[in-house]
Amino acid sequence: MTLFSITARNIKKNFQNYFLYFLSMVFSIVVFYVFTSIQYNEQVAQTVGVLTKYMLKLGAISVAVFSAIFMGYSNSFFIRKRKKEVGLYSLLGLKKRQVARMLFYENLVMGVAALGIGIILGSLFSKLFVMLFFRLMGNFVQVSFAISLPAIYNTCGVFLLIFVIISLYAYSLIYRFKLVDLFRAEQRGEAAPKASIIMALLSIILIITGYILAFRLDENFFLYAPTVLITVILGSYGLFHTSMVFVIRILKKNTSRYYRGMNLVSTTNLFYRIKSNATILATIAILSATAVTAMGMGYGIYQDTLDKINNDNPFSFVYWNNPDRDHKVNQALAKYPQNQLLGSVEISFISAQASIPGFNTRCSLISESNYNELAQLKGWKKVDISGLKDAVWVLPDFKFREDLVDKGVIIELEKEGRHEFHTIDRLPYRLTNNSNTWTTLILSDAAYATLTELEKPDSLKALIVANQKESRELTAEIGKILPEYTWNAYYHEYIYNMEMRGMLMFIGGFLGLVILLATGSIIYFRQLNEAQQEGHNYQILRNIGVSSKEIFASIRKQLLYVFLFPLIVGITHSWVALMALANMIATDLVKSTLITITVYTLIYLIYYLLTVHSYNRIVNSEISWSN
Amino acid sequence: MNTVLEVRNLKKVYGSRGTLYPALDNIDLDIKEGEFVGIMGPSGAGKTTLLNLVATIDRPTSGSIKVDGIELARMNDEQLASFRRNKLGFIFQDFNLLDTLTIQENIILPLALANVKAPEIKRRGYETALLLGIEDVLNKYPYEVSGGQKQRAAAARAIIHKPSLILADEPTGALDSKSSAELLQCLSDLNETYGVNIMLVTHDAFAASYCRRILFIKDGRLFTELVKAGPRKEFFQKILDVLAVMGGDNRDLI
Repeated sequence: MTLFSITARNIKKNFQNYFLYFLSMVFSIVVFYVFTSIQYNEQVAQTVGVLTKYMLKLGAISVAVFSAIFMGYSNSFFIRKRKKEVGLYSLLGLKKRQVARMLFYENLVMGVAALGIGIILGSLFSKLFVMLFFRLMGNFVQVSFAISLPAIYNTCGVFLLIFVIISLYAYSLIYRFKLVDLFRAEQRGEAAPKASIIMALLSIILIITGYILAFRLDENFFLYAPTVLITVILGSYGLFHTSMVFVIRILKKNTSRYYRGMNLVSTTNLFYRIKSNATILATIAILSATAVTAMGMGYGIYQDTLDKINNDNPFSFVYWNNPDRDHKVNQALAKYPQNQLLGSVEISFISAQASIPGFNTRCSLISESNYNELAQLKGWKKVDISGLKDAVWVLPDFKFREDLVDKGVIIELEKEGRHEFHTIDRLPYRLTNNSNTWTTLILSDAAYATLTELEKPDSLKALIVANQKESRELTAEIGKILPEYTWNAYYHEYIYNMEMRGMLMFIGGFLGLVILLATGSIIYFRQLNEAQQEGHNYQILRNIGVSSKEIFASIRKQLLYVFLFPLIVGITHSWVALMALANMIATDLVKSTLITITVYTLIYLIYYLLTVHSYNRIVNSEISWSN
Repeated sequence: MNTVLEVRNLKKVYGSRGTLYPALDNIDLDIKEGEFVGIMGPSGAGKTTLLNLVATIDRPTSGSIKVDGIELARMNDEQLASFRRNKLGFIFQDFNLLDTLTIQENIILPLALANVKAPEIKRRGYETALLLGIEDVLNKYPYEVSGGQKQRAAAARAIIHKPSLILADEPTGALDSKSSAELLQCLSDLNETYGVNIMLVTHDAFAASYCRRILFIKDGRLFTELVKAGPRKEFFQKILDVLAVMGGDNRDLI
């Protein structure tokens, strides 16, 4: 029997244990391959901008780094799990070098298999993924099937490197084993960390500090962003280490609950390996937070993209007008019958500074009749301003600023003096695509006329054309007519937003899935390892008359804690992260975040059920292996 | 006097097709209230098989086992589990304490499983520990105490829920001679003072000499029976005599 045939047998025998690991590895490779192959896809190269390519590269690097950590962890874990087996081989006279080489073969066989399957699946589905990528960016593009050689080289190179690094690490682990250690089972309980109240409070303070800073990221992003990460991560580890001791102490103190049935066993099982459990649970909480944030961000930014583009860009074209430009634009329009002019409006406005207590902003002033003309064209709510001192906000802020209504507002013109108005209502529109009009006050015609005598108004022309999403040529032509920065086109914003948001959705979604799968598989292995170590204890319990049903219930309960704690902490972290993001980009992310969390929890639940099932199979099968 | 254990025509055959190996053949056995019965025999005689069958961990090929008049053969796994929990107490050679629990928690486990009220659990836990002289190590974990203390903790766990029958499987097998003597004296006291019924399986004549009656098994059949009359040392000598007659595997006798 050669080393290699032992290897093959080992893999076959342990396949069930390895299955989830293998699956996660394959998935990571598929995602890495897809991210890479998209960068090399010619159709993509023609369509997307530099930033998107850069982000895809960043996404691929993140997948690689994360896969390396995940595989390294799983591997050290497998080796520790097989300590006894390694010891036996050593005892039978195998040299450490040979044992290490055997484990290296095992790794290599699995790695190469995963790489092969990953690349094949990636290639098979790459057409689908590229189409999904385009679809998310708003295009239905027929993509031709292509195997991307550079992507294959890249994927093989990166992952083989990861395998080699991991194998070297495995080597070092084996060389550090002493034969006597290998046979001494890991029986000793870990000393419970001291439950210091100061540490617990400090952890909570760290997390809260991180949360508060997260909402003030816009003040100093480059200082606060890393601070938030560090405080929240440190706080989470501290929280798990101290709070788990507290929670279990409290559980133990309530003896009428603690001394009921299997509670005694499930509670102490949690307490027994508390230190390493706390570390793993905190890690999972942070990984879950990362996954939910990545997916929630991608989805939150992507949801209602079209609505947002339409709301932010109510007109197909907006430009600073004069008769000469009007003429040239009309000539251009005539050349593109598919983009026929559906309506146009001229907007006259005065730029001013508006202030009410606690709110100070640049704004534009427009007359009631001019606004109503525009509202007629867009189908918006019209206004009727009777009082000379009344004004109505047109402001698209996503948080409905009730506090701006029914206030005295002071208008300062550039040249002349202060004028006070009273705000009576607020309309949630963006007046035109031009940023000068994003905050607007409508005044009565009479009041506006008075102000125009003090300051000359500016004039914009706003057009709506048919099929504005397919107005590429027309937009290009108008770009030649109008000087830069004097005009806005719906089409530009549409393309830019679809690309950015679609790309973020694509990368965020896949990255989140990779992390989710890996997290699930880490927690799964970890619990199964524990099950194998606890097998003897469950056998004792069965001997003294605990039924299989009770053991199953106890496992369910015990694992629920293990899964639930990190999930709750992870979800809280990601909730704060996404709300902070919503705050920063002024978008409502509540709904998308809730959906993401629900989906995440459901997938996580599958892992829980899978783990319960496997744990139960290990400790609760009919075979008695004591004696 | 009530019969605690009643075994009739017990037969156990291992193996399947062709290579059948009878481990137990037509065993009859009675244990009455207040008895301390030893089961002896050379390795492979069927001692452990008998114990496993009475412990309901294994099922007989044929025959009947009744504990407190209840027939075990008709119970399903669920019922057997609750039967083991309520009617039997176990002491194993390798202690079989849960290493995640303290000594105190190990001892009270049967009461917790029976959903006894917490204050009573605490009280009975302490009383039982006192009985076996391990009240000082209650808050330690199994790996922190000596083998003798571990086995006494296991004995405490076996008796705390007042089972009908204690099954002890080579309880001194992993102990040094001093700890062995202490444990056996404890079991003997429990039997004499509190009327605890014990069935002790051993191949060690010294351990067996603490019993009041000994059944010898050879090749799956009952060989002979010895009843204690007189001091322990005399009984020990008689046991050695029987073992000498029985022959077989007695290399590991003292």
